[in-house]
Amino acid sequence: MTPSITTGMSRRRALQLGLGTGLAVALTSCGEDGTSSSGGGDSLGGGSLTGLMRASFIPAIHELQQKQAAAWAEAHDGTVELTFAKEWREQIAAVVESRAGEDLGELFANQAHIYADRLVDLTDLCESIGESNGGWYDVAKDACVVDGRWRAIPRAYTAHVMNWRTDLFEQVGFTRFPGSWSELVEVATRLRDAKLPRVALTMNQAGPNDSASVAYSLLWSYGAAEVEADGRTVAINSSQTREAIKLMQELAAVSAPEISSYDEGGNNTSFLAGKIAVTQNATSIWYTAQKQAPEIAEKMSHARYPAGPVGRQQLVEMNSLAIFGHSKRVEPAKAFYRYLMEPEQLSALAEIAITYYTPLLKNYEGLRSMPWNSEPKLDGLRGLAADGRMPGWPGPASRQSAQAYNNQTIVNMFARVISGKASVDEAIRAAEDELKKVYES
Amino acid sequence: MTMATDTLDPAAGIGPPPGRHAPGAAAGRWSLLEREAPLGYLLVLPMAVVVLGLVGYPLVLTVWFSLTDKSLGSDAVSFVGLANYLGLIDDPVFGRTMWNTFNYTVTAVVAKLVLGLVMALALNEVRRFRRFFRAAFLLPWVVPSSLSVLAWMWMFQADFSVLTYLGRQVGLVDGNIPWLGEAGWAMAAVQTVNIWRGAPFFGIIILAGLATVPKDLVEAAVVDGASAWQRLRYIILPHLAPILVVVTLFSFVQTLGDFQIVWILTNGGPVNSTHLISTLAFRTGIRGADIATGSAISFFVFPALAAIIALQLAVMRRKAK
Repeated sequence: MTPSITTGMSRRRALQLGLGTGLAVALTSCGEDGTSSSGGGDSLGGGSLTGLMRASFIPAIHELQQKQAAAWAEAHDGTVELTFAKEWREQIAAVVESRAGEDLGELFANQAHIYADRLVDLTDLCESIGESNGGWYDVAKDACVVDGRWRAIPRAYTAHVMNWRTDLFEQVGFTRFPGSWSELVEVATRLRDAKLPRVALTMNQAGPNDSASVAYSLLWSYGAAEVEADGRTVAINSSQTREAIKLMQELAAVSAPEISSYDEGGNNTSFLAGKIAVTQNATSIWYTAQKQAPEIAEKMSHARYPAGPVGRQQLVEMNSLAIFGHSKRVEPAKAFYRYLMEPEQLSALAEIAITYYTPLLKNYEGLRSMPWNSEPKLDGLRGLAADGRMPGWPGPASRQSAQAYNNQTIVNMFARVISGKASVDEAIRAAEDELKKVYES
Repeated sequence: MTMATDTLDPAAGIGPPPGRHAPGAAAGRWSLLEREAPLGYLLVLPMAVVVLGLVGYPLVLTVWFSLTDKSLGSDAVSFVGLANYLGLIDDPVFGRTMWNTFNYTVTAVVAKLVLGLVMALALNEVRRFRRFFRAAFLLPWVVPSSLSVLAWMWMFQADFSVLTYLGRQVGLVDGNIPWLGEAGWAMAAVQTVNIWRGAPFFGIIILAGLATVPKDLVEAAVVDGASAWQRLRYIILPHLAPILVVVTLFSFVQTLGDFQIVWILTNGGPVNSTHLISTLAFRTGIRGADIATGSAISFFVFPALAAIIALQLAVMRRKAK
């Protein structure tokens, strides 16, 4: 007997239903993005702006930005949906390359140079913001001006600073943070000899931003650089680089042995637990300490990186705002950014972020609400942006400098020597080879 | 209410059932769909489109990118031939990465095979709470790796590692172990996590395979005085061989393309000593925006994957015969 299958409907009917449902789902999913923009002007016309933003260690930063976005959206007949993601850089790469997705994005470091072709020209907006606020610091222009046009708004930088324990330093005879790198070696030696928690400036690929901030800043403060001002000639093989590495070698020898092991959060954890006396980080350690380890918060302070033979230098971790070229709501997006850059909104962000988001507009330096003017523990951060540099300095911020930064060539140059796996000259040669591939190929 | 009931007869699928034709071209199309063969193609088509779209298209695009100087976000693209591939040959970081990938994959797969076999043999002997143990052993494989790797990150933390603490308690180490700060330790750490995560998969598959080993054969061997090792060597392993080959090859493919464990734990460090092809391609192509070189790097895994898949298919074909 032939087996038979009994169903409630014919095959033809089932196919019709299946195709119909599929078509309906496809049409529904096309939805809003397929429709045209809100028309002219700043109004969203009932539509929505979407943005990919950087997730920070301070949740209040996200909450404030969501509130600001909601307030602006309400006044402009629409919604603004901001997504805060830890891997926002990768998501932005996908959005830019596919020319689809979010309208807005928060760019990191010199991404404005990498994605310049696909970002909306914001020159008028940036120039008007600069004029009303005393002008931009040079590093802001370096980060966001590509071929004479502003491709992003340099909203703020994240200040990487020395987080240090005042009580431990006092025990070894220092009531202030060392002004020079060699003085820091002296403190580190005394801390080690006194068997106190040690200095711990991380130098590891797993903590790329923290490590890079010290590596570049130290290198520059000794007058060394990875590339010449022309942005093409590799300059790492110099006597200044040797001096900088030797200083780091001396410092590492008397530092906590874990400096090669800490990832981006490991040094924070150890500092909060009282295991180390100094580490480089944003001020988020202090933010967390106030909530979770008040006894540490009370006994810590912040300082700028020490000076080398040519003074203080500082790598700046840039956070800039861009509008993607594929956005259909460019005018509302510009209006939203104009609103975010108004003194009331930007000051609120800077206050709540305690230098995690520090404005790059000169008028803000003296504002009473700025963290260094309102909090003694942040006093040492004044003027940091004026000495700020982008990766690749003194060459221009570029695709190549971004690549060298991402390859962590400078971090690894120091790390090779600290680990004992390479001599100073070997480490420099390895870095030189890597940099030549990037800059000269 | 009456409900229409149709009877579908698979044996009658070659031609349209009589009396169902509506006049006109539309009816002709529908009658075509009521035949098994065209309908089969139609039903496979969506999946074929998905596979071609999600695998084939990116693959072709990757090949194209690797032959150009394409940068992420840039509209200017030039054909450069094999320059990206040739540039990698004398790159020490890439050379180290190739070795790391080989070392990571072979070590982890062999360890997972051995541990999985031990796990399966042990579970096979468990009579009480068998389901509980089976579920418990499978947990590492089931938990999303991004979550479990974060837990491992804590266990490898420089100052507070529980593993270091245990080592100190039993007098094996003095001071902190640089789990993620020294090349050798870091590679061992990422391999350990991969093995921990992958061994249960081997265990469960081999356990299923053990059910196919004839019990009477094992019992006869016991009666004949065969030792446990002899039973394993001459009865169990030969029966398990096809399963072991398939699961091992499958694991090779999985491990060769591993990404999260290394990226989350070490970012490829220290000093590029744990980079795998996938992480180096990601760093170069996405973080560094050099998608052309990133694509070329990722393509170096392709010959190995193709060979493994060909081997796997050959084994499965022979098994089917």
